[in-house]
Amino acid sequence: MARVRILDLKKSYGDFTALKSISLDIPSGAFFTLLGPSGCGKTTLLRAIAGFHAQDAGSIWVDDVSIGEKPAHLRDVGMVFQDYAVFPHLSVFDNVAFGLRQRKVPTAEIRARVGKMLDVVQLGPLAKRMPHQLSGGQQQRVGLARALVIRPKVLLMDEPLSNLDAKLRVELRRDIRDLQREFGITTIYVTHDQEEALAVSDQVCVMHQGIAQQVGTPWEIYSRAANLFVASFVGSNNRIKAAVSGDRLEVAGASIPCPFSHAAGPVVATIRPEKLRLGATDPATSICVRGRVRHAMFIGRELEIGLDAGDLSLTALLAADARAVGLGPGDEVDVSLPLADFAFYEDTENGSLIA
Amino acid sequence: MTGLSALFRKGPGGLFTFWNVVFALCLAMIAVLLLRPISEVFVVGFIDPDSGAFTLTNYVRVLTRPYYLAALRNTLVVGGGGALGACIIGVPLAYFVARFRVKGRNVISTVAVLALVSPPFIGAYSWILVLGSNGWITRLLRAWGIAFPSIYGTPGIILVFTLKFFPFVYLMTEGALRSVNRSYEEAAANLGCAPLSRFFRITLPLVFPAVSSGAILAFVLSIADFGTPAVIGRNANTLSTIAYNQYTSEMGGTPSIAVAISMLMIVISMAAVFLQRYFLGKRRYAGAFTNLPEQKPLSGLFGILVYGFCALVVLFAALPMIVVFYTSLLATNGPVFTGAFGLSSYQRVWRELPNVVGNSFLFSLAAVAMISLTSAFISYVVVRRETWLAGLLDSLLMVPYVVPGVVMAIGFTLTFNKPPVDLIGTALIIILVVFIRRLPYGVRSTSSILRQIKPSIEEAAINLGSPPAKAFLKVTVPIMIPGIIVGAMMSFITAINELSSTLLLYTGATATMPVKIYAAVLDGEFGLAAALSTILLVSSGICVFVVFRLSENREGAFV
Ligand SMILES: Nc1ncnc2c1ncn2[C@@H]1O[C@H](COP(=O)(O)OP(=O)(O)O)[C@@H](O)[C@H]1O
Ligand SMILES: [Mg+2]
Repeated sequence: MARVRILDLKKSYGDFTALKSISLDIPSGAFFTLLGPSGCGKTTLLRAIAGFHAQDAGSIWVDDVSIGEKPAHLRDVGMVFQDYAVFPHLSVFDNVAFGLRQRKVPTAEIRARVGKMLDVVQLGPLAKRMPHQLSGGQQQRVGLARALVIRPKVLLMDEPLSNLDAKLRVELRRDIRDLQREFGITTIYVTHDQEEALAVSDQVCVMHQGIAQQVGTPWEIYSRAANLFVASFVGSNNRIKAAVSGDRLEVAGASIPCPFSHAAGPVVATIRPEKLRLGATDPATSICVRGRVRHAMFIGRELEIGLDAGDLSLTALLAADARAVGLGPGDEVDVSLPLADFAFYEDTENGSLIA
Repeated sequence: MTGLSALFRKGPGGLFTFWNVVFALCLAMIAVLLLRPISEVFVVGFIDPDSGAFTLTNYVRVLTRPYYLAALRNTLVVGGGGALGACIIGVPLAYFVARFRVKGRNVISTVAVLALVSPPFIGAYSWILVLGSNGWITRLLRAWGIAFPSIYGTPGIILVFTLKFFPFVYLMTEGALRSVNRSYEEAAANLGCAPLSRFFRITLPLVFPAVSSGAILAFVLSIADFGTPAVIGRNANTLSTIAYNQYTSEMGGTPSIAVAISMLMIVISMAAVFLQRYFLGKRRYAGAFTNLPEQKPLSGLFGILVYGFCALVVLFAALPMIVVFYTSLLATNGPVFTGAFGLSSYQRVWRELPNVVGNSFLFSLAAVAMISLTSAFISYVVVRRETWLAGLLDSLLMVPYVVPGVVMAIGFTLTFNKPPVDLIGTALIIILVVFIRRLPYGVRSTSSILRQIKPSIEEAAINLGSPPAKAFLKVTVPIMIPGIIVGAMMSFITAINELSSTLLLYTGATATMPVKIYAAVLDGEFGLAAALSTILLVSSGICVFVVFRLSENREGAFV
């Protein structure tokens, strides 16, 4: 258990800046996820924490110890690798025992701890196997056991599931989360898969272009995205042009009392597809739009509808009831957009949340 | 099964298709030039030279008499010492060059390749000029009152082998180190493993296949080498020098003892190769991930040590070439150096030995032409025909790697010594022996390029109406040309430097440069030897330059 703090971390490759001043405060025992598209700097940050490359500036703290200048082998942060990195010339047992041997743990204790850890990750019977006799999922369990058995203060995982197939991914991520809770170990987890991030994390940090865009619980990230990048990267979103004039707001062909104070001019409104309702409702609480169905797809459990209304293009996720399932391309329908479900952003490149 | 036809792949064209005929010719050629001489050697070892009856005495004698046992021990010592020395220099050098931003990397690999292609006996005699009883450094040290230990005998041989064969270990290991997934080393660091222990516990085991391949190559070539122990060994005989001595003293009679010694050499080489295969068989590291290692910058004391080490290796490896070149420019009066610079050694070559230089080039070019042509066909058969016979052909081509030149030469004299094929004393026997000894190298470089050409290209030509032979010549061969040229250059280098087999086969009219260098060194004609050696080195250097130009994986072409 340890609190991890990262202060003002910067890292460039040549003249390309991969991390632009990252500061994070990760509570002890948290499952903390770095989420962002490929190339946003997640691996760079994680490797700096592990000590595989030196940051240009900034410091890294585990509790009250600064580890940012220590060599990698003295940092005591466990790591699980995207490519497993299970040593191919050592058996499963020897892989898991590797870190303990470095720490000069007595042989009897090594045997006991490795045995127990292999049972925890359900690899007990495979202890004598060589890595090439294991499936990808089993190899990653070895990687996990190997990192956990040394009881590190912090556990780092760089897209540990991205080389596995979809079903195994879901199964193993649940196991990882259970183990993390059981050991109470502060974990920094990297993924580009937003569903995975939302499912397992206590806290999520959304990264983009080397900047931490927003840190929060999965629900905060989803429901109150701090800027337009987060709003569109985490879950899908409808983006609607809007304009403030005096105390009125023009949005989706309607004029409503402006729910925030803002200088006159354009803003951006967003609303999640699943918030859209079929049919018109009370104009005091929602905006009603009449549009033509562009496409209607049953995607399992829900129906996704694409809708054109003038120059407005909307996506709606609807419960698959009889009326919705009956819709086809070209049909005219009313949809209502509840006012309470809108979020408003500055109309800039990556506009931040107004309200 | 329909007998013979089942052995060959029976295509739509019947048994006598173009490729089946080529295949049969390849097998026949290997049978005559490789299997026949070796089986002659094998048989003669069991014959009593006086009565002609079957006997085991030859082997018993070789395996019990102290004279032979001492040679056996020396052979193993210099082979093992050479391989070990090659690893001690080659592995750290490979690690530094692969993992750190070492400036002058090209200098290192160029010198390594040049050391690799220069004949070992030149190294031996250069080190005598430097550290021998009358060498520069020895005299210098003596003037200061320091007695330098003798370089003659096994220490000198091991020194020469180490500096000659470390490039194998270096080049192979460097290639492997560059492609090890870096996550392994990072994972080890992450688990608390310090850098040095990381190298021994993770990195070295992962590149073990490459290191051991290089070491085995060094071992096999060390025990087969004749020139080095002959030049610098003095009283330390090895199996190849006593095989040669025995053969020349048994001349005219049946060379039974020489042959028994030869078989022993083959057995040792094969044992080494199989041992390595056995260990490698248990290791399967092929990973699907390509997370390649980064090169770290060098600084501080460690940086100085690394550069110091690299500079020392380059200096030692290049020293023989520098010494030879320098010596060739010293004026001589007969065998005596006058102390001034001059081209008299080259003038002597020009006046007295033009035919020797001519022979060397002529024989080498002839052998290379045959190798290029044959290896194009053989590699096609080996790469594209997946029958067990093609596999057999591939394995048979391993044989020349483990048969020392002295042994091959003895086999040839036993096989081609009576009508209808009496080749003793002819140029052809030298060309043929070089051809069969170097064919595998040619086949390897053409096969590697052929593996990169998709069969569909040729199939397209056939599909458009071209007969198979024409499709091969018109479509595949042109694409293979760079590989064939690289193969030809490599064959040329080894052919023109060949000593161990030609020394048993030459006559006055067919002497070659290495033979003359060897004789000149024994006669103390160091100036003449240096001039001839420089000509050899320059020819080899030109070929290296061409290979560097044509080959994508420059140094890789040499291992
Ligand atoms: N060794 C390197 N040299 C130069 N650029 C690099 C290097 N490693 C990563 N980058 C660049 O830095 C950016 C961030 O990389 P990375 O941290 O691996 O992203 P992520 O893990 O989020 O996909 C990418 O644009 C990548 O191209
Ligand atoms: Mg990454």
